[in-house]
Amino acid sequence: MRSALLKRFAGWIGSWSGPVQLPEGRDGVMQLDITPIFEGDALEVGAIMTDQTGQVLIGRGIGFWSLERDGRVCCVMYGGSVGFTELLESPDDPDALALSGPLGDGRTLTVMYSQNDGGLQLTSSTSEGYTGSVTVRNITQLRRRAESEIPPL
Amino acid sequence: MNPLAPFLGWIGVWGGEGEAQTGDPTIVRTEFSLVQGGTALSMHFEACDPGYRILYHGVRAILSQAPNGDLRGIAYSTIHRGYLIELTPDDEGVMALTGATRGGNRIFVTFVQEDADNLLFTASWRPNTAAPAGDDTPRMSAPLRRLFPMKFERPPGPPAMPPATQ
Repeated sequence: MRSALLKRFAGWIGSWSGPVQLPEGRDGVMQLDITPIFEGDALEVGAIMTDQTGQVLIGRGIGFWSLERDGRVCCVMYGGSVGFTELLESPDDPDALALSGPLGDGRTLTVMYSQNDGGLQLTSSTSEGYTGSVTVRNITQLRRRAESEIPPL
Repeated sequence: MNPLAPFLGWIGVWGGEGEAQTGDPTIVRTEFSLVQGGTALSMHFEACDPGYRILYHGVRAILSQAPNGDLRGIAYSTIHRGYLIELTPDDEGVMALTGATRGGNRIFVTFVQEDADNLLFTASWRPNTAAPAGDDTPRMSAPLRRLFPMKFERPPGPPAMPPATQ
């Protein structure tokens, strides 16, 4: 029997990649892997960002998504530049997942996943206080990674 | 020094028979591996009944260096759900982790390296408001041995590739 978490995110499970522009203006590539663990009791969501050659690791993050009693997604996560935090789902449209939570320095981190045109868009931003400025960290349009078509021998 | 360095020798699969917090016998399997481009240490833990039918407790944790240099982690437990974990200072060869769950409990997990191929695992939890754990606190424990591939005479394989020619 599939868990409620798996039912909701079944279409997102797998490996995704896409171009990413980093705040410093550098272009890179993000790879995102969404993997069920413990029979779908939770999802492990890991991302790494490299430069365009794939040789230099420029960013990384990993988290576990699970469902709270009220059905919202809770995420414990680590990001290379933001450290460790817990994010909670804010209500949004059913094809999207918006998670936000506090960073140690008083800022709030918001990570938004939304499904569009068969792809997955990931946006992350930080904000200061309730009315403070919002800094968009990155917007990435991800496509499902596909096996290349290898001609038969 | 990379704070993960003391534990890199633990990478691999470990297993053993122990006792669950309820006192029931349990089979434990733990795997340490590198993830996130080699920048973080993953610990996957499973404690099952001796018949391998029921997962008593499954935990997956990722340890990594925080921006301030400390080693911290995230964990997901099939009992306690997701929580953040801290490495508490301890002797060399000891990994002592603790974390507070959203359900109001505090978790304690310790791996003690007895030699290169033997670890001793113990774990317990109690409500945040309860008195500190004593020696009589129920805990899960298991001696873990490193699992090595069985040595055997390999069956004949495919013919060797011819040497490359210029």
